[in-house]
Amino acid sequence: MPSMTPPETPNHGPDQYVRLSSLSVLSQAGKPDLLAPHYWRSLEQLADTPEFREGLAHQPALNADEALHASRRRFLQTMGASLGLAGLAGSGCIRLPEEKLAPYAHRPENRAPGNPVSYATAMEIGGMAQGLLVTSFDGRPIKIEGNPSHPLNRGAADMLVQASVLELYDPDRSRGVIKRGLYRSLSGDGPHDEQITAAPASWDDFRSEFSKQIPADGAGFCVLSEASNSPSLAAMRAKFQAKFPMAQWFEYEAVSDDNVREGTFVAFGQNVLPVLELADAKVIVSLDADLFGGGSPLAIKYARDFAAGRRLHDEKTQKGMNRLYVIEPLHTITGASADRRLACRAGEIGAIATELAAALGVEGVEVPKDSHLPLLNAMKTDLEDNMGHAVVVAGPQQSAEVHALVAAINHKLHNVGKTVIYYPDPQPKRLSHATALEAAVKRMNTVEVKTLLILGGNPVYNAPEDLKFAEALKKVPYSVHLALHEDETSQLCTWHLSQAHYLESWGDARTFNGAVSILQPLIEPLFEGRSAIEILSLIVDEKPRTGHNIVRETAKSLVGNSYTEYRWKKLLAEGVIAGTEWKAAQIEKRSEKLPSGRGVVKNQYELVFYTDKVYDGRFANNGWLQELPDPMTRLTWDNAAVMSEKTAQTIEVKQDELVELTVEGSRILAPVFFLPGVAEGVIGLALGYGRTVAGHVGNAVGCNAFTLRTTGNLGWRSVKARPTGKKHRLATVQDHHIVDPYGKEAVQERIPELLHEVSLAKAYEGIRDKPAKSIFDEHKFDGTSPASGDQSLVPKHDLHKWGMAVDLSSCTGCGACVVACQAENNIPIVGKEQVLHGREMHWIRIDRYFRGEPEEAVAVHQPVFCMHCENAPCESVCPVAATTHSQEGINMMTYNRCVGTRYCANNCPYKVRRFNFFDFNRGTLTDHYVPNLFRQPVTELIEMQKNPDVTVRMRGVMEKCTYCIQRIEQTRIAAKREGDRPIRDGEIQTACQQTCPTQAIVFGDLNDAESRVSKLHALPRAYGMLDPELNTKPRTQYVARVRNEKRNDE
Amino acid sequence: MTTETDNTPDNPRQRATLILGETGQSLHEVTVAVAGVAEAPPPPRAWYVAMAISLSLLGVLGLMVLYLFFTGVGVWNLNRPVGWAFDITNFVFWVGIGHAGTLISAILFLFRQKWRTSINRFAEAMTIFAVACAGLFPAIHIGRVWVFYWLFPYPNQMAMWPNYLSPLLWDVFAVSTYATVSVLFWYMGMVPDLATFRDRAKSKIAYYSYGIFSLGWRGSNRHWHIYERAYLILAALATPLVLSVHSVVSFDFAVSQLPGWHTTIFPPYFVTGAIFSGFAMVVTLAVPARELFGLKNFITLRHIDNMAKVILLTSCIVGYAYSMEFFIAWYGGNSWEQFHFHNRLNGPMWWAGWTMLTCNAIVPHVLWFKSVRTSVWVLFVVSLLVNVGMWFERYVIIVVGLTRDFLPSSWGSYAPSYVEVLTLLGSFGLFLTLFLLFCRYLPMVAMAEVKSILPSQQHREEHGHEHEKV
Repeated sequence: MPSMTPPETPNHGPDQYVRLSSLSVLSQAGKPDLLAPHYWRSLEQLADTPEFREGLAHQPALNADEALHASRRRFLQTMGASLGLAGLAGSGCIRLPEEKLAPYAHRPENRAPGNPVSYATAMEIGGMAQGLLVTSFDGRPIKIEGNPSHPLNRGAADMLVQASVLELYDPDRSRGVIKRGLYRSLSGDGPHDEQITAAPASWDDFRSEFSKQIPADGAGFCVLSEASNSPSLAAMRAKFQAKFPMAQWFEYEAVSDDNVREGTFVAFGQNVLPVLELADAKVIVSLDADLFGGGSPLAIKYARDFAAGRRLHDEKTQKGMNRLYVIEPLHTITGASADRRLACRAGEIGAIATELAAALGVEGVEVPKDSHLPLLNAMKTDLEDNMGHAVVVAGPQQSAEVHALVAAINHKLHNVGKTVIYYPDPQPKRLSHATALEAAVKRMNTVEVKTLLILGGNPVYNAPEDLKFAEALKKVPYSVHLALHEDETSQLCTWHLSQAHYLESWGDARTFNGAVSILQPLIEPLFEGRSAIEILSLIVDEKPRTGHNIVRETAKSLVGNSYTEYRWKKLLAEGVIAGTEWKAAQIEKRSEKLPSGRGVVKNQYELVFYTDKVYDGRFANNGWLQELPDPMTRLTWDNAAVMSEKTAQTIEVKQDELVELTVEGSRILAPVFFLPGVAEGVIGLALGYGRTVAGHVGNAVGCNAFTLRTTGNLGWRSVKARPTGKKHRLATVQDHHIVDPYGKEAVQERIPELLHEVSLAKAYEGIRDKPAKSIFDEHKFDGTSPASGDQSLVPKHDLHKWGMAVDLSSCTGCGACVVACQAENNIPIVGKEQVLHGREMHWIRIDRYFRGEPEEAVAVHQPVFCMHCENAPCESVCPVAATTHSQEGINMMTYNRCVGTRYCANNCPYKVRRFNFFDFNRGTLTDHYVPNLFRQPVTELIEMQKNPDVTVRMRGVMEKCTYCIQRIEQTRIAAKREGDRPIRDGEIQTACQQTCPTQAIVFGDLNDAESRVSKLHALPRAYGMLDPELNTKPRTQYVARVRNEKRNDE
Repeated sequence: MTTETDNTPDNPRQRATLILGETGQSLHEVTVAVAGVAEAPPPPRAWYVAMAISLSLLGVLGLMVLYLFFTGVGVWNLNRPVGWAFDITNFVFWVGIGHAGTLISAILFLFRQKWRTSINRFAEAMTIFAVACAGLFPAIHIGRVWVFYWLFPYPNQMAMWPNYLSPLLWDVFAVSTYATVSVLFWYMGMVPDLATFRDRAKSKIAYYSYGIFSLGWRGSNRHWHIYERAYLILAALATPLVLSVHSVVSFDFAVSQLPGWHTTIFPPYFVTGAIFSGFAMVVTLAVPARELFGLKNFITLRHIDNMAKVILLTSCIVGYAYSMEFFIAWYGGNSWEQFHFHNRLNGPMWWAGWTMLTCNAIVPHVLWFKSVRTSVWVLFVVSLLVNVGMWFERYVIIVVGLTRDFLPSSWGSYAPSYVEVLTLLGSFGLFLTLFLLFCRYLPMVAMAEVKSILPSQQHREEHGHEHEKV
């Protein structure tokens, strides 16, 4: 689908038009017109919130006379208007002019009702933009993909991006401006616990009050913002600093790459940011760097490039592959992708880096006395043999010293400019995030800060514990927080401003190489939110400008003289502004003396913090992410003290037992989860959980690791661990229960059968038995109809035989496909209680197995979807023929025929069928066991996200992967309309395939011998799971994983 | 009222008496004894107590089913991979119970096993009530109960037929056929007795009710002629059903491909198991019933002894089937299959597997001893254990099979929710309520048939082939 320019008018797109018009329908008839776009019926849904009731109270009172003497019709009109206006205003006291409902006299460009349109935009996390294409259906964004022309995404997107569309429709998002009665006296011994009162206010209230607060020079005014590389924000910030020279601006990000930046500065004497080009790397050494996971936007690029260096799809041209060494304390998906993996403590990485640097002859490194790194020789020879095609990388949680060593090693190996590119830091003078926050807190504590504007972020929740940010914030007399949700920080600020979601706002952002993308809104702000640049405009500009104006101005300055209206539209359509990339920095000198890695205290437990699917906690209220199984632990709805069984034995804790973790007086209880492969003595704890004011989904999920994190070392620290004997059931979707010894043995026996692995030397050798020849004339399911003999009337290009291939060498198990599938196919979440029952609904399950002994466990991932077996065991047993086979080989599910016997699921050897045990699409996550009559009504806001091309399933029916049949049909229709042309290979992309960063999933037509999927199926190491044994003839085949443990053959 | 004499010794030279006591000597006495149960109000206090308990359980069943209907199948603790558990276990269990009746009525009839006459009515009633309980579960276990009728082949606007390949559909036919034939057989056999009740009725309601259902039976020669022919034909029709129903039920599993389900031994194994559990249930019901309603002279120790022998025989066959399963799993060399059977005895649900083995294949061997077979309350306990064991057999096959199949990633576990447990108990409420009503209002013993085997009648038959039936 081509990307389109958005509607012309800034902030007054057709979306708003639709809104107002449906409102007028409300007011005229007194009840919603069924023909009106139904999404604004969420007004009624709003009616349940306290804000709404508050709003009603602020409505201009009805004219009593009118109310008494009005006709029934007039009364209903008035009542309808009150409802509508109160809901729209959210804060009351606003009476919008009534507008008329009118059809499009001129249809906006490229918009036909019912046809999805996709727009290019971008999402920024931690100052890094991902370029996206967002599919919009009648004004509702419903699905996000990576932008194929964006240098970072290249069409792929990670789980956070995929799930962000749900965030847009989160009913817990804050609505409008909230003013809190939190003025505190500056005198005496600090603030008292005052009664907190929150009341809705308006943006005008805020502006008029706020402008009085700030002195002309800005003294006592402080801004705390999230990390951002947005040119518009930078421009506004410059303007801000010009207007308020005495004001201060700090940037804080809980998860940041500051250590990399500092370490590189030590090595090269300049502020540069490294970006790896793994596609050119033959040898990759990761020192505690989770390259493919952890929520960093760059993980997509790294995974893609890594997979590109391992693709063995053509015997003639693709022979060699890269080799990945991973040394890490936790067990990450990067470790699972490694050819050689070694577990060590986080504190040992420094020593290892020193040792490696010394072995490679890096000058200025103190040669350690005794070597203890088993892999050292192998890595050394590999790295030296591949100078310029090797790369060493350390994780951002590692200290600056380690990064300095790593930079020096890469320099020594001549990797700079080849596999490591250094880009200049756009903010070279920026304080590191922790230091910046520390400075801000210092000023807040001395009451130097009179007014604090927090632009995004949630520092009360995720600031390092020792800074006592919450205490400091309470001392600030006037504080303003801009955020999507009224969160922990909002609760302590005097004002909360509703932030516009990135899908609702204009903006711009830079990606890893500096390329600028424009953020364009897909929908009017649902809750009156505004973006950070608009807030700044509110403060700085005489006449506040819209985000659209600000961004256009920035774009104009970026493009220069060639800027025209046409160019602007083109920029929007392309999603990336060409020519805005940075030039790679010239790396010349490096410091003479390098620090050497520190030793480690062995006899203490090491608590290692890491980020996963909720990132720094900002996605905690996102049900898709909370229910997405972690790729390694397979945990949902919790974080856990992840440790090896051996460590647990020394602490004397069991699985699912709460362990008490104590650090200098801070103490949390975390449930224990055994993960093979975690280094001994290491306890991993994911950040971002244990939110208290996240919303209905995210509150009280897991424990808050930030309370143990201090500025001393944000990556890990030593910790005291003590058993408590208390239980906390963890909802893991695999190994729901402890497996008995015999079961464990059977698992080990089965893994090689289910998940084939081969060595590089045998990459093109066959692994499977010859399929048995049937004595019957079997259906081919290749598009020909077995019923009618004459096929000559069907054009040959219309005969399809759909199939899928999954390259297990490429798959990292990241889980983006699971969320993409969830968004595309309207898959509900079920909540922790139901996951514990084993009723999660994901159509894709990424199985994770461990091979070998627990201490040296090798993890392997295998995505499992419906295999679309030609001999489908599910089909024959369905008594009502609700699941049948299409002529093209798709195992189809007819939801409205299904009666729900679950026989098909029992008989499916792959266990890919999902049953709707309850009406998971209705009610809340906690009222499943309440009879339907008494359940809460459907949240219509959530319904806005649903894909109209896919049925929303009711209770009692079975469902499963359909190969995204709606996408197949869309493409087929498009091809038919374009002169009945053949469907091109790769034209149909399933949702999982489209978002997969490593392109591990390939879908296509097996009738076409030249299609990618045919070629993959033809590989000798391709196999169908359980295929020869059960003769199911699965259409989804796996390409055996190749491990490159020994030396490359080239 | 009568002195009990032992009719259990097997003396080949002398035919054992099937009916004991003084009543055995007179046709009228039989009528009085059997019809008296229905005619003499009030029934024993124990009946009221039993009825109260059964009705409460029936109420629980109703509540649980309503809760299920209004909420969703999720109120049961089913999950992925365990798509069936208590629901289908109960179904197979009740269908199995329902086997004894037809076997006793039809097969033993064809084999001229005259001792069946005392217990056949009773066993048939049990069959029908058990089939009613069995039918309940497939109907309520589906996700969308309001469209359960889609399982039946009927012409419809969707132009959709059910899928004739599915064993679940075969079940629908097998069970509904079985239920129909059983009801017909039971009812038809009851017509002469209903007429007797009619003739003895004291109240108008009873008179008309029994009158309508006795279909104008007058006991004429012609009636008897037609009746006996029809009975024979129905017996012949019902006989293959005894074998077919549970064979078809076993296809639900045998035709699937799960390890532990996909086994060719299942049809005979299930049929034997069904007869086994059916006879156990007959004993479970007969022992208290003969005490309660004073029918010890009709359901004599010899009957009990005979049934115990059938239980023993079927237990041996079931035990053989179990060992064959294990043997074939080992001999066949299929690792999935081997794992499954190992898992049955040693896996997380070992207790279920061992309960099944102990109750079905070990405990019944006490019945080799005649002293056990003839001490009714010991036999009662054994029969209860067999019932428990047979319920667990289905549980083990279904649940243990489902928890661990091919992909270890999808292994799961299962424990029932309170709704499932109460539904199972409630189904006993339904069964017992129907049974207690039957005991109270319908001829519990086939009077007409019993009369034909009274010692006095036997004697007359041998000498003069005279027919005297009342």
